[in-house]
Amino acid sequence: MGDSPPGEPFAVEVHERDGDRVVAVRGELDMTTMPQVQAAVEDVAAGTRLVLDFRRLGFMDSAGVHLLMRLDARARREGFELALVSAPGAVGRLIELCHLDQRITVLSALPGP
Amino acid sequence: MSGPSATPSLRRSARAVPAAVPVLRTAATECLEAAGIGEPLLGAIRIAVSEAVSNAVLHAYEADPGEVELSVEVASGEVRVTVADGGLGLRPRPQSPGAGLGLPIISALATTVELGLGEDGGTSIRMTFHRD
Repeated sequence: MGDSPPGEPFAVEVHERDGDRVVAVRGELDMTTMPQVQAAVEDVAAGTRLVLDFRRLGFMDSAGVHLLMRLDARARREGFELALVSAPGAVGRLIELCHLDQRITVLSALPGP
Repeated sequence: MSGPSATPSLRRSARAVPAAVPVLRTAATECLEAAGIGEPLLGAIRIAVSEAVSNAVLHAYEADPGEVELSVEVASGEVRVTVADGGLGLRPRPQSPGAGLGLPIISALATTVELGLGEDGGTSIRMTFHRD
């Protein structure tokens, strides 16, 4: 009956970086935590780039996939750019399984200085 | 009931509310890690458990959530995972939240998937995952 999470606690951090909105998500992304990511990306302006930093995301299920699909559709509709710095392991495999890597730009590292 | 079986196993229930998703996923993770299951199988099973429990939370009950039960058995050649609820069973949900991705993802990750209707009308998802 351990109550310690298997990874680090869930957290969402938002930074502005050279005009990009960088949203770093840590911990585990599921239906209980997805609304916090949603809230961090709601006011992205047209013409900017939204970079989701998933390097420290330890887990994601279809709640995260669904969020990415909605964001991709929004980016195309509202005219902002969406990019993803993906985690290795199961998160990256799920992104590939759902072919999100064919719709969203996947970066190997955070852009900029 | 006695026997020489040393099969690591887990049986755990939770009320079918969103908090059940990380609670049961974490319980499965601890059982699998204790049994020596590592990546990539561990990650695949964790996703499948999360999807199956999320389905029960979103679809099994209407106003008054009942229970969702997770069982995990680690055998020498495979891991067997069942997520069962006592809810309303399989039925169309035109207003369903979610993107309908759960079962396709489970089907892609598991070796076999079996959907069942319980005697009380609930739904069960039985999954097996081959080791190696």
